[in-house]
Amino acid sequence: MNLRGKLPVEPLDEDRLVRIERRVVAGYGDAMARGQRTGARWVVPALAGAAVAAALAAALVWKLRPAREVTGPAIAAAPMRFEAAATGARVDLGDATLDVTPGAAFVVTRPTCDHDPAWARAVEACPTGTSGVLVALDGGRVEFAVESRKGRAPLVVRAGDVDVVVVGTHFSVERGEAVTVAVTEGVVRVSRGGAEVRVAAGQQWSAPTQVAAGAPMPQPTATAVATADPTGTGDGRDAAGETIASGRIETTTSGVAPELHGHDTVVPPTGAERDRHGGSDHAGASAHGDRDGAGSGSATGARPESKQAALRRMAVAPPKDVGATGEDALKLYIGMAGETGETRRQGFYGAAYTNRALGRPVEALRMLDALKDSKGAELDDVLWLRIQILCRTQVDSKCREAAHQYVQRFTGNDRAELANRITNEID
Amino acid sequence: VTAAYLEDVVLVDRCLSGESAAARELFRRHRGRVHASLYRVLGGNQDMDDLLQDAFLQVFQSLRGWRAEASLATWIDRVAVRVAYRYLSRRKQRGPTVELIEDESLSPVADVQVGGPAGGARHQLARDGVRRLYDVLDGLSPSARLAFTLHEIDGRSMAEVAEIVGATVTATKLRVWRARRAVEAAAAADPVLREFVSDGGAS
Repeated sequence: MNLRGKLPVEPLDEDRLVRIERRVVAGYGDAMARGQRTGARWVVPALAGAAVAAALAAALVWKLRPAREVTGPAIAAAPMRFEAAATGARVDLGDATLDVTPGAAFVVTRPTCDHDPAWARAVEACPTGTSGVLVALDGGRVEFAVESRKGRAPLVVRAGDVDVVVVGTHFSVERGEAVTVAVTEGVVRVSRGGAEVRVAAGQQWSAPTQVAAGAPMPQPTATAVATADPTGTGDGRDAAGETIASGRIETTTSGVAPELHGHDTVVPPTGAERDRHGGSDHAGASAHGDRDGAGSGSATGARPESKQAALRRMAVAPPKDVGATGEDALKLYIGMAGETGETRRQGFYGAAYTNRALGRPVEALRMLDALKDSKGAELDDVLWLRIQILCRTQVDSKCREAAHQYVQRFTGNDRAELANRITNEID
Repeated sequence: VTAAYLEDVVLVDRCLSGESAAARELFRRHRGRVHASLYRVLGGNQDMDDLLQDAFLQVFQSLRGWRAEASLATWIDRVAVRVAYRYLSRRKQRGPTVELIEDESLSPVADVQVGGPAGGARHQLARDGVRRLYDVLDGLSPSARLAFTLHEIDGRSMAEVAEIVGATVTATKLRVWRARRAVEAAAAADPVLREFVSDGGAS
């Protein structure tokens, strides 16, 4: 009996594929939520039952709403309430209100910092015991009013590969042929492929949905919308003093700093100051959207440079240039990691470096694990990158352990001095 | 650690973090293989779009359960096969359907291009052979049909089929053997099917 090759598969035509893909992507959020609720491997919070019941009730309200065009499968593992409006819908998440225009589609989840490591590493600040809000926008325009999230993980609006991170503000995100972020109160951070830009009140940021690898990050522009807080700081402080480094805008306003850069409040220098003070391994950072090229806090002289400011100043060595950035670079590095010899090592280092730049520290550390047998300068860079990953947001036991590993092997350079501070100084 | 493994890990992490673009990428990366497997197991089928959709929604629902103990592709195939199994079980309860026969455009050989009068005859023979083969498969248990089609038509090894259907290799071999015996018995009484399944049969 021979049947192989006798039954050619009738290919699905493009229209059918697009229809199926659309339905799969639209139902993906719901499916993930079902998996999360039924998954026995994960700890289910005590409130989950009540939350799911509330979500079901909310879904019922959603189903019974007057006929309208919003099709987004809004779901969450926390109480929600939906209200239909004549021209769209208003979704009250409890800690944020979403005004949804007809045709918009999105999925809401509440990833927890403790049980969702992918989320915890996607955001810089994720306090233990808190959860964030992730709004994955499939298309259309949604206007957000977000209560202060101080002490909690941020709210993130994800429009394709564009992330808008906020801790408390009023803004809108529109996803069509372009992704447009318009801020009317406070400030948000927009990140894409490792590059970041800050959009303050009265500003708008827009970029095509599809961009070529390595395309520069657009800068925000002023909008004509009336703003409740034209300073963009949320408290009336001057938002001046911004410096642009590696596709990112640094700010001197400490009121914004925690959400942007962990808990560091040290004032960065101007670009010229940064050039004078060096950062010898800064070269190539911008090509990879790296953020380590940010300026030296010590330039202010007002107070001792914090450890995390020093960490940012003493950047990691860039990986081998593969002529791409972000996810594209990551794919290339992963391909190299599948090779042998030096190419393999460069691939793992590049994958670690890029994962870190993309906000995936766990993946970055996993890639570095493959380089445990490094020696000499490579070991120096590997251990230093490990410190940069683990000490990014806070100096905890893992961070100190990584610093300790470094000082055990290297002494007498700036990195060793800082690693020694991290190991021994109690904040 | 292979590059494919690393890519899978990164992609799954992105899916789990709620990135719909990653879900789209996962679908596009695996849809062709999953569709081909479903097609060979079930034959041309008017429910194929729904089945493919169900398979991927099941994948996303279970994605947290993937622990990289198997390749992501194999794991997705396993989920898809479960969807096919449920479909066959339900259909068995409802009774057989004949969409494969009635709608030529849904036939697995509908798009075979064979030129000339002789080619046309071979085309007809192949189409009839496929139809009669799936008639026989409709009479098998879902588990035997899965094992047989994945091994004999989809070309997977016994070990791979066993892993996908969640059975031992011995049990899988037994299922394939039973199905083969049923097909051979039907072929003995049906010259068209006999010609189709023979080594030199229409293709």
